[in-house]
Amino acid sequence: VTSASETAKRRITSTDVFCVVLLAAVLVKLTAGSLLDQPSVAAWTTVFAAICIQAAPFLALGIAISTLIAVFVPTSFFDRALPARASLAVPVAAIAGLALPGCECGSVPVSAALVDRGVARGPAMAFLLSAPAINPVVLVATSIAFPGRPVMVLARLLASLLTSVVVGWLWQRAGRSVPLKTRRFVPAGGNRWDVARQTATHDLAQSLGLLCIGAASAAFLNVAVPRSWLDGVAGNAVLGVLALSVLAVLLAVCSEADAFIASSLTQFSLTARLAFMVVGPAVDVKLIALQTGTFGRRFTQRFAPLAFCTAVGAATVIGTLLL
Amino acid sequence: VNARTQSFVLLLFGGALLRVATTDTLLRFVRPSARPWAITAGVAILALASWSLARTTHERAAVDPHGHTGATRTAWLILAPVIAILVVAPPALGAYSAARQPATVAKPPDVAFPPLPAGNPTSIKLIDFAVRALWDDGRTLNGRNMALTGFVLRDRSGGFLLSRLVITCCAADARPVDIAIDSNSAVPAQGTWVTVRGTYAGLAPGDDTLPALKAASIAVISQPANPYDD
Repeated sequence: VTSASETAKRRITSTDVFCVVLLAAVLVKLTAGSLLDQPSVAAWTTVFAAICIQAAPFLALGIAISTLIAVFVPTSFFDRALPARASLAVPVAAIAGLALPGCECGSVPVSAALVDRGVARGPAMAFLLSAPAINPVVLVATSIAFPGRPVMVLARLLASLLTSVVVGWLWQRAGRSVPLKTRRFVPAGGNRWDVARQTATHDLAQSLGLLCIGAASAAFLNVAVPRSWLDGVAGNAVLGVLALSVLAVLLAVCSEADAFIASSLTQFSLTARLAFMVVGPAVDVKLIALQTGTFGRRFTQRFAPLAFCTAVGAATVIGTLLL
Repeated sequence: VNARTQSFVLLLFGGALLRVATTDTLLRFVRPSARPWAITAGVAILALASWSLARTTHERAAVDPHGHTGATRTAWLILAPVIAILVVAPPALGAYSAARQPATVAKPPDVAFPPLPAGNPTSIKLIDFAVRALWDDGRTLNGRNMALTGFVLRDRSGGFLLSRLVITCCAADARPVDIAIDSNSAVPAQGTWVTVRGTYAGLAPGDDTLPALKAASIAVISQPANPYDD
């Protein structure tokens, strides 16, 4: 492993890239036939490619929005739009999450752009958690997945909002000691459109690369974790909630699809399935990779456990009250 | 990784995405409804990457205030899906994935099921068959000749299941629908694509979550363009 400074000194040209791609492609092509004979390797490759293909448009949309915010929306806009007191701005930002239709991948760059534009860390994190969990597409998907149980949609909305607001408040108070990695990339200059282009290219290349890490590990767990171990814990109320919460982190299913998975896990209680849908958009292996690359390792080490525990708690409370 | 390399890698990814999105290969990975999204994203990424590639010759390398570019080394990873899509071109998920998770059929939103479309036999999706069998006591299936297409799956006791995977977004959320096939002829090999014609035969003995089909004929076919039950 070369250190970052060494890499910077060595100038990597596109010719180098081309050679590496060619070499890798030839090697893979030569071995692909025998590798694909292994059904687990074939399934991993399919799921890996599927997550990348499925998430790329949402990630690109998120980058487009975050670039527009970063380059064209003045800082003063957010000063006016959000209440000055962070404790009030947190619930406002959480509810604003209703307006960004998309999966969780897109909300990471958008939240990073909000932080860059001077939005306080609490409201920005509330938005990060709420946008993928409570947007209209996700809520409609949930109502289709749980027919005849509209209370499930309400429970998901409330539990995810509760998670976003509580984490937002806690992060506003306790997150001070954890510096968010600020934008390290400074465009070389030019007019606004040049800045926008450079920002988008840089952010897209970085986020897609991070998405690949997340997709690779999610695909591995998807193929490697046997579903039969779930049956042993389904009957126990507490273990059921914990098992599906952990499964949500490991499987990293898109928030627009998780309701259908949850509805198919019929051996579990409704509260456990609610936890699956509340934890997934907040913490999963794909998000952890994206957030580590965007906000820094120290951030994720604290934020992911906090979001996980809060989401499990919120789902348990709302599930007990409503379901 | 400098700006040129980033653009170059993005160019490859956009090209791969556009390539897969304009062929039936896409249906191995995502639902048909994802096609316009994938095409739009492919075109947008290609356009952005070409624009950046054309302009970077005039620009000095991006300035990093910390003097290193560690974060953007991840751009290299984008080559992994490019190679996976264009070079490896893995097959759609099938019997291996279906055998590893239990088939479950959730209660559908509509309580009243319309009669099956005309036809003798009438082609029907596995999920449709299973839902009507499990949640409507098979009322709309009784007395009809049906044709169901899926792949062969052997259950633990060696019995013949017809299976197909259902996806909501992408192959990562694939879940199987299984139907027990009551047949006297030899069972084709695991994973073989077949069209089974037959009649509804209630629920499988000993499993009230598994609907059954009494087979009149079993034809081996090639894998359909959309391998998932959509």
